[in-house]
Amino acid sequence: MDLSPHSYIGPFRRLAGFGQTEFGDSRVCSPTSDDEVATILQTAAAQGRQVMLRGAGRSYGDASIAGETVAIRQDRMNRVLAWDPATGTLDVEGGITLEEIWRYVLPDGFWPPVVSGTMKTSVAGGLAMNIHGKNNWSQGTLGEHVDWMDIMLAGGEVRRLIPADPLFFQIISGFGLLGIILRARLRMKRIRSGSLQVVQRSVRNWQEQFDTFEEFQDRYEYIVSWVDGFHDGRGTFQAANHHPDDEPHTLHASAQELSPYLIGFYPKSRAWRTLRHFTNPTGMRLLSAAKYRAGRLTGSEKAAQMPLVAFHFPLDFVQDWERAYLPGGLLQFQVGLGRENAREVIPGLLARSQAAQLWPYLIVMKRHRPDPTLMSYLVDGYSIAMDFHRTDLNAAQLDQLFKEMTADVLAAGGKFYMAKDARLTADEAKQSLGEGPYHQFLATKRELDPTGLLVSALGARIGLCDIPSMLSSP
Amino acid sequence: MAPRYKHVIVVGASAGIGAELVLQLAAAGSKVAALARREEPLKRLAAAHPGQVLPIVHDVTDFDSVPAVFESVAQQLGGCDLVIYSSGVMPTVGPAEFDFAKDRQMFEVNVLGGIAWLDAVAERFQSTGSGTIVMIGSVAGDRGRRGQPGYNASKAAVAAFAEALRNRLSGKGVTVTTVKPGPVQTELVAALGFKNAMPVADAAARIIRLAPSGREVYLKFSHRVIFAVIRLMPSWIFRHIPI
Repeated sequence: MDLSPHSYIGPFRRLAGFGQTEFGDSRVCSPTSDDEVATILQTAAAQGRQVMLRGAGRSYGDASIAGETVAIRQDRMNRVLAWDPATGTLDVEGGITLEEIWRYVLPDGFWPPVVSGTMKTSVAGGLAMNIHGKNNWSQGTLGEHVDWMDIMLAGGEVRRLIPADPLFFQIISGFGLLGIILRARLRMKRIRSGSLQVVQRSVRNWQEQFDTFEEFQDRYEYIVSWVDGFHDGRGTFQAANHHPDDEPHTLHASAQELSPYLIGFYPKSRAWRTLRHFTNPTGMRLLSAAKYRAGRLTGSEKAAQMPLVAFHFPLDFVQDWERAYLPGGLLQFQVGLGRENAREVIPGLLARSQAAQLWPYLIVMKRHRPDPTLMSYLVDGYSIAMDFHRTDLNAAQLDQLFKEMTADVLAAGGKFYMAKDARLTADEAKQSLGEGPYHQFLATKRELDPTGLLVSALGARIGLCDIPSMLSSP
Repeated sequence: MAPRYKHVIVVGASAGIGAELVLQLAAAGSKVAALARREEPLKRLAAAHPGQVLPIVHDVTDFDSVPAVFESVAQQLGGCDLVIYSSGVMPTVGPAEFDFAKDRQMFEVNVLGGIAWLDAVAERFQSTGSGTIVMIGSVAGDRGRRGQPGYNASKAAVAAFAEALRNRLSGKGVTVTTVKPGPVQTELVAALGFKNAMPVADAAARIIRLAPSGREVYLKFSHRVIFAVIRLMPSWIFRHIPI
């Protein structure tokens, strides 16, 4: 095997999932052009290496890591290629982030049609993982707002795909295992104001949670609820619509900036250090109780105005908040359940974790609709995202809890969000995704990438690609 | 329970401490690449822990090949978080013998092979901000003894190099540990006839336990004391001690 250095193959770096529980060392490259990407693919293949694609590294688990591979980061392929304010179509390179997009289009009265809970997500990574936002029920996933994509296959061939192509919705949701999303045309959403009208309701139990979603789902674009992990379904529900009036003064980035300080003086950049003192059951129980009480006090059916960024990305303003979970890291359990099962299964998941004395420190519920992607995790129903603090002491217990909750979800025909997952096995993934889509994906993988060049730790774990090792797993 | 080190490379694994380290690490659940010149002993190690031990034939004096061998082995293992350099030779040297060929061989295997490996490993670990390096030195490197000038000098060089690496990398997430075994019941010291040599299994277990320490360590408390005294002893006294 020729492993001599090559100018396109960068140095080793330790790459981590956003949750800081999964790691892998890769030679990292940041190409700037199609030719460079093609050269990296060719060089890696010639040297007997495999290639892993990494967008902005915001997937929580192991979707954008794979030890001993060449990692292609697209952070230097992040240009806006064309922008038409008349139609709202935006041509971008895959490495551009949602933040770079909204800053670009907002002054012209546009906003990305779908945004994740962080604006740091890249378009290529977001499409590969098929991200959704708080408006999934009404607007679908980001991939449903794409007119075309240019992708590069493992062999270096570039293809332009449109939604009618059979491959289109396989690449979107393809976990970065089928090809590299080089460019895409996105349809932006026209807005009149940089604000949302937000209503908030304090809910006391699971029954109220579900009822509230169904009450608001057809009247509001964005619906989401925070659930207190230490109680039985209580929380704070929010629904929001774009402000209908013309407010040109709010359509620029400066109107979206949040204060860099908490309570007027404490820098948010240092907040994670304080938060670390609360990342324990007692501290989080206190914070959750305070948040619930605050929700009861401030909750109002009367719409309040809130900047778009403050509503969509509140955690981005607590810089490095995930570090509050170090040294053990953050494991998220995010699943989707059909409407018919959700009212029974979702409360059961929280009850199971509470019975194991493994309390989720943050729980978010959303309403969803099915989408046309091959490896879809979305159903007509609800998702629940539960954040757990992993420590050396609870790691084994947490793995056991995840196994049990996974069994509950599979028994109810539920789905798993791979951008957050770090524990699902190949058999569990196959059961969840369905035999048909699973085998279709493998067939497409064999066709587009016959040598198995494109890999990820997630793909290997759930059986969608192979990372050969001379040894069996310990 | 997951092993502390998932992917380990042991250089110099055909016999003695190196072979025992491979067996104990594999038994604890690590994937271990065992490197040495002789293939047969490596096959026996692999057979003892099927699927856990990767046998790789490698001559540490083929210095130029080391970076590529290291990367290839790490790739085959699926990662690398601990490298132990255990290669060492100590040919018998007579009390009145001055043999450059033997001294050169000791420097090539004990020192230059070690530097070739540790340079390659340090470069990667520095980049990733993670990893542990264990250099097997010797108490023989603490002073220049009359019996083994070449060996003493080679182990002194090894200790100095490892200390320099430790000082370079300690702030970068990399642990460098120098282990200074005393007499251990290995082929290497059998010819010297030590009566109280430590069993190999015992030495290997202590090395694994001490690997995360990031210090220069002896395997026995008594060795630490004795060799502290020896290091401080004036040369004009030390030259009269028959060791």
